[in-house]
Amino acid sequence: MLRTATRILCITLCGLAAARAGADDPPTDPSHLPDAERAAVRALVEKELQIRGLLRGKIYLTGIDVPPDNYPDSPRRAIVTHYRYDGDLTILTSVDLGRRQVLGVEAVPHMSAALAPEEQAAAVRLARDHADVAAALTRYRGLKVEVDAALWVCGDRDALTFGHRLVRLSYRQGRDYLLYAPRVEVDLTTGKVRVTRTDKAHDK
Amino acid sequence: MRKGRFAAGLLGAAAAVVFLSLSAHSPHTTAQPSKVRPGLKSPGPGIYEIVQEFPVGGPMQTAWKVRYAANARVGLMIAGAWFKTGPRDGWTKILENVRLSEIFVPYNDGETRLYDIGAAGAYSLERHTQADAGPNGKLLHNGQVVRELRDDGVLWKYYNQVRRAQDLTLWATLGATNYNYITEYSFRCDGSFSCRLGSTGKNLSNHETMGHMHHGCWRIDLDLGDPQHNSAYLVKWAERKGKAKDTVEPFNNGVEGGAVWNAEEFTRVRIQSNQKNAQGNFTSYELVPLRHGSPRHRGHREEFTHHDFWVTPYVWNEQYYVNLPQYVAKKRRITDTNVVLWYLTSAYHLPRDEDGIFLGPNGQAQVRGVALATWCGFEMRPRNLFEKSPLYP
Repeated sequence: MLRTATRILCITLCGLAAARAGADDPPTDPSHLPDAERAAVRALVEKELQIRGLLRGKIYLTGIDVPPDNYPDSPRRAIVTHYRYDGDLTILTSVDLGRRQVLGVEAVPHMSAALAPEEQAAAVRLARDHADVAAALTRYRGLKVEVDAALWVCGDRDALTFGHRLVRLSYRQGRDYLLYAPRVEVDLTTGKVRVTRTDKAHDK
Repeated sequence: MRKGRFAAGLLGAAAAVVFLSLSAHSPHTTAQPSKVRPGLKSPGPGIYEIVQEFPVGGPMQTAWKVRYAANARVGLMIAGAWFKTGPRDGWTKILENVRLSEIFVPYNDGETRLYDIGAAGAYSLERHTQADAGPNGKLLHNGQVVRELRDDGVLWKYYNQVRRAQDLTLWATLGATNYNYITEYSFRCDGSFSCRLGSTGKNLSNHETMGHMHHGCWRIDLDLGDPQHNSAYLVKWAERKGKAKDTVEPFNNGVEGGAVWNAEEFTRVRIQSNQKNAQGNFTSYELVPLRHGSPRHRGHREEFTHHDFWVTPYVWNEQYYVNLPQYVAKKRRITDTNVVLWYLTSAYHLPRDEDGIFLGPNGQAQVRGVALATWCGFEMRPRNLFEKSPLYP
């Protein structure tokens, strides 16, 4: 009897722990694909883009979106996004994940697509290697300075930077942005870094 | 005998643990969000479900069943919602999905354009504490989602009779570098629901004093009853020569497209089902705008801001607000089919000292404070979902 009761108690406590685990864990991203599936989907899509002549030059996988739905008969599907520098082109490929089949490809010029991790790293590296950025950050030497990379879109068709992949970097310590940090704009399309002097950096 | 008593005590303790654990949650809420229930289609991993009965703490009169999901690109999204108009009624499907499709942030200099969802960088789903959740809030998913039960003021009053409204609110915060975006969904006891975007945080470095917009670009996939038989209408009011008239017309003549909100017409969009309530009237939901203003941007590919409402037929991979002008160019039918409503909600932020801006002697701006939350959003209000006043004796 004692053993049975102990078992019941253990099972109950384990059950409660498991039930709570679902609520206490971070939410699972519905768009998350396991590594193997992500790699397979990427290979499938890039093969299709190759066939269609879209896979050329500098091109990055920037995201995979798996829109959830409640329709009983709908297959599990994803929208795979690539960004191609040539033509400032965002390529959206629709994929049936279950059948590993490409359902359609849409190439949209001048549509904003997220920065790929490789692009973020490239922007930070280009800025770090720029003498003016290094000089401006000298006063923060020894402190842990972090950097945010944000994609900026030029909406002016007549501007020289229209259609370019523009990244602005903001330097911070903790969650506070550095007062004397330079304004840094990295044009990933041309590889150029533009640095505004710290005393001119702010808009007043 | 002693062993038997001990065992009974152990079982009693187990029962007490179960009881206390369950009663720690609101008595009319499912204990914790769970994966979907048996008998419903499992929409995939990462979808959670909450059932909330109203009134909280009393016998159930109405209820919402809400599915939700969250990630670091979009924040919180609703992945299905069903409503019960009474304790003996079945679930009526209201929503298939609602989410922010884009947060567009154009600055007054004309050259700074941020797409905070489409071009999201390394954003994060922020973790909250009980200080975020408030006295009626609960932290879910490691604190990354907050569930609140709110008193929503007077629902109706007639002399000595009154009913206060309650709602289930789910919200989460997207950490978007210098800004925090709060996405909030409230499901009210009368079948209405609202969606809001709150923008707060530090003003953008190097643009501390520059005016800018935060546009919440919403994709609202209503499914009223049978989703294949929904239709979109534009509802307007106008007074001429002292007499007022209401007009209900097929949205854009029944073809996908956009429409403009007109303050003098009380413009709203109605999504109507082919199902009728017990009075024989078609059930619908109306989008009631809660607007600060209507921006029109003229940059390249910013035509999606030239209308306030858009309606398209449902296509699973048409998810991106900025592509609406291309979607509607197909001129597809939006009557008696599965439709999606898109809506632009805008907040204009003209920086002020309350944002914590200080100008140094050299004229440089510094931010040592935080911009208070500015909200924009909309309400979806049922029409002929009930056959009588909801929650009325």
